[in-house]
Amino acid sequence: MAADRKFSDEELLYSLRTGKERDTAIRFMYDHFFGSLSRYVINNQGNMEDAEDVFQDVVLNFISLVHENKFRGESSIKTFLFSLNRFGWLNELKRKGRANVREVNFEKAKDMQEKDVSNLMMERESTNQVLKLVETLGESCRKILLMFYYENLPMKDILTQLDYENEQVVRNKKYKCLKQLEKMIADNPQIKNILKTALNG
Amino acid sequence: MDSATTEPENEIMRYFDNEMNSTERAAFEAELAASPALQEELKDLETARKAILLHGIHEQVTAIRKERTAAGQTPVRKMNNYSRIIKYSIAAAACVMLAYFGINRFTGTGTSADKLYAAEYVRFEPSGSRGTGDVPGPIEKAYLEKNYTEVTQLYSSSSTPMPRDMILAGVAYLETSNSAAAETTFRLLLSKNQSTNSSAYNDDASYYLALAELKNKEYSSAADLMDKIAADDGNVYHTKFDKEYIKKVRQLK
Repeated sequence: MAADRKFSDEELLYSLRTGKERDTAIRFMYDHFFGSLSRYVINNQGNMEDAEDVFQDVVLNFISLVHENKFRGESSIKTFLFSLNRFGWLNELKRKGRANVREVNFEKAKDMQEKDVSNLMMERESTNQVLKLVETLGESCRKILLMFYYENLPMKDILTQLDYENEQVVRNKKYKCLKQLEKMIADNPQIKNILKTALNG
Repeated sequence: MDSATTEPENEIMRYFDNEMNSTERAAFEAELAASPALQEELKDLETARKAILLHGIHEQVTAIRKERTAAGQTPVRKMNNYSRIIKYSIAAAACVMLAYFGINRFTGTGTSADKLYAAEYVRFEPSGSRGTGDVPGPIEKAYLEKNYTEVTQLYSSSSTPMPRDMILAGVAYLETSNSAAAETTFRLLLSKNQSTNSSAYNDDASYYLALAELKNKEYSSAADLMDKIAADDGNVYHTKFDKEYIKKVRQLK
């Protein structure tokens, strides 16, 4: 389904940050940015699947950065996404051992106009490690934490969607789940480091 | 009051979840500033929240990607002819306007064409992506050995040069300061591509053509082409020429 609604940069940021119309906003990103970003990958030794994978990484990282107020708006969203896409794909090429001299030289020679955003991109492997860890949290915990911290739903709305007695029970459950996740991360220094780096990038 | 948590935990959660009023927040922040343990706890909560956030985004983006794939919507937005005409008309108009205002507003600043050229010129490095079984042809071999004169001689004697050979020859001409021949070679490659519906080395040819025009003192034309490259996010060189750079090219006389 294509996104009918058009978003200005400000509207897109608002939607991604608050979660309002986020589905539509992500569809809009696919409609309006994937074409030009995929061309870069396809013109540089990649195929359509590579382009889709990198774009998914780009969208994921961008929303994450917006949530963390790390996107400063110094450039347009499109330009910023292009940089994320470029660095994301070059990282992939390097990881696959397909980076050639031209890419490396191009990186070295890149001018000061394009900010190095590679530190803002979480590598796919790192993202997958975090995702796997959250998967082990258990469905009820995941649901409640996602509803509160990702969908920004108020407690009363969460209560209507989950089978709990009252808001206080939901609140307690949320606390326990968050502490459980916190402990799981603390017990896994590698993932803790990934997340800390991502937070401070 | 949260009956399942102790008071300090309740406080930090209320702070973390942004549920305190301004007075409570100020009091808690004073306490936080004096307590490294509390600061550490807050960081750990942030880390956990970040993990949840990543999971949420991943689920949502993956679902949309799957939905689009299932619907047969390869997420490439295709432009119809009308949109294409509008887009390129606007781009052309923008280029004309930029050229007009650039020429009228600015006078020369003393920046030389050679300096601008040197600032952006990067030697073309042939990609090794043609396949492991490929052996460089004689033109590429000479190019890799930086024997540029031999490159241009081999190219001149070749009756059916491939696009790759043309780009190498064009850059070899630039390396040997024959920018006129370089310009001709890049134009020929772009023209051949257009007639054969190919895009092989188009980005490279456009980029080096703009630099060749700069060398050949065709500043307006070079700046227009640079504008076009900069405006095309899909061009691998689109970040090479920024507005300031192009402005300086337009200032040259």
